[in-house]
Amino acid sequence: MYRVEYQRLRFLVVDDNTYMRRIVKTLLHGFGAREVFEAEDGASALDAFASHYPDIVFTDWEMPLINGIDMTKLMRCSDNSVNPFVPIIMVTVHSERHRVIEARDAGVTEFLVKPLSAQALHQRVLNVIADPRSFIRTQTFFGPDRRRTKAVEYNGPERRKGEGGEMIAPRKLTAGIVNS
Amino acid sequence: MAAPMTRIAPHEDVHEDHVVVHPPTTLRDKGLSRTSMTPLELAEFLERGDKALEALAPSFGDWILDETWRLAESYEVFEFGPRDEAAAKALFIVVHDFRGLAKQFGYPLAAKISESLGEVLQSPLAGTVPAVILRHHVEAICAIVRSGVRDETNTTARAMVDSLAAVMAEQRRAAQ
Repeated sequence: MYRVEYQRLRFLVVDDNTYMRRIVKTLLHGFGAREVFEAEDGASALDAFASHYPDIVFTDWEMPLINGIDMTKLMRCSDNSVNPFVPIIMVTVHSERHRVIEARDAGVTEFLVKPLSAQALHQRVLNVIADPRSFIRTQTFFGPDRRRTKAVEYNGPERRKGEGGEMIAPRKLTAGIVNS
Repeated sequence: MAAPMTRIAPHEDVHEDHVVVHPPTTLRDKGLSRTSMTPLELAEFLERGDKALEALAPSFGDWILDETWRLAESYEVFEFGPRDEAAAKALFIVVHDFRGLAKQFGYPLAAKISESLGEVLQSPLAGTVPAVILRHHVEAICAIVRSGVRDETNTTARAMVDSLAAVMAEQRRAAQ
């Protein structure tokens, strides 16, 4: 089992509810995190994201003004995003399948359903660090690869084209910005 | 103070209708230790998180009570306001927050009623359901929390949940 060095990581916790932020913060501090920043809505989270460069973002779904889904899209796709690859963990009471799919399609990395437990939170943090996924860019999507398994026999309309070895060109395009 | 930033160009594989981007592994290098954890060490580590949460537990009762006041106040604003989409959305966010906290703090029946209320507020019924029915939802939630009912089998609370569900089912049928 990998050991996560929470004390080396910087977290941003976004939730409009003070008590929920406190619970997430308390768990992170309990695991040794030192730098945990807070934001109470999507708009102030985007400010904090740009100024604190968090390594991992926890966000609520339902918030006034900019909700967690729109915030995720802005962190992923905005031209001036400081880190479009940042792992985003959605912490929500929504557990319906269509909600999980909506979050995934917005670019959310992991989904964590309330009530929170120490084990579930740690597992999500471990997943995003130890087993990061590639990102996929299409005309309508940019985010972590939505396929967790390779279903080679799948041939439906959502099948991506050109992964049978017929890669057009490997290249380096836009420079991403990450914490050093 | 934020850490200095470094630009690292991710490697990209361009395919027919998509690009696979391989982000730099900076976070793995930063956040994972070279040493691994034994199952015992992991259990002890997780216990640290549980203990931190347990230390907060004595405050949970006060926090959820605070939230019932917030819910009741928000409901008053909704009932005596325009009852339009924006008002329903504003109340929904409070109800939804409450539902999350009720689940977190162990009030499953209060969470269930707030879930039902949230569903109404996100549907066209929000503008048409008689206010008294919505008010009954809020009052039931407040009563359950203020009575400290955390047991899912509590007969009185269970009866409130069931009768509110029946009333809402009737409203849905009438709206069709």
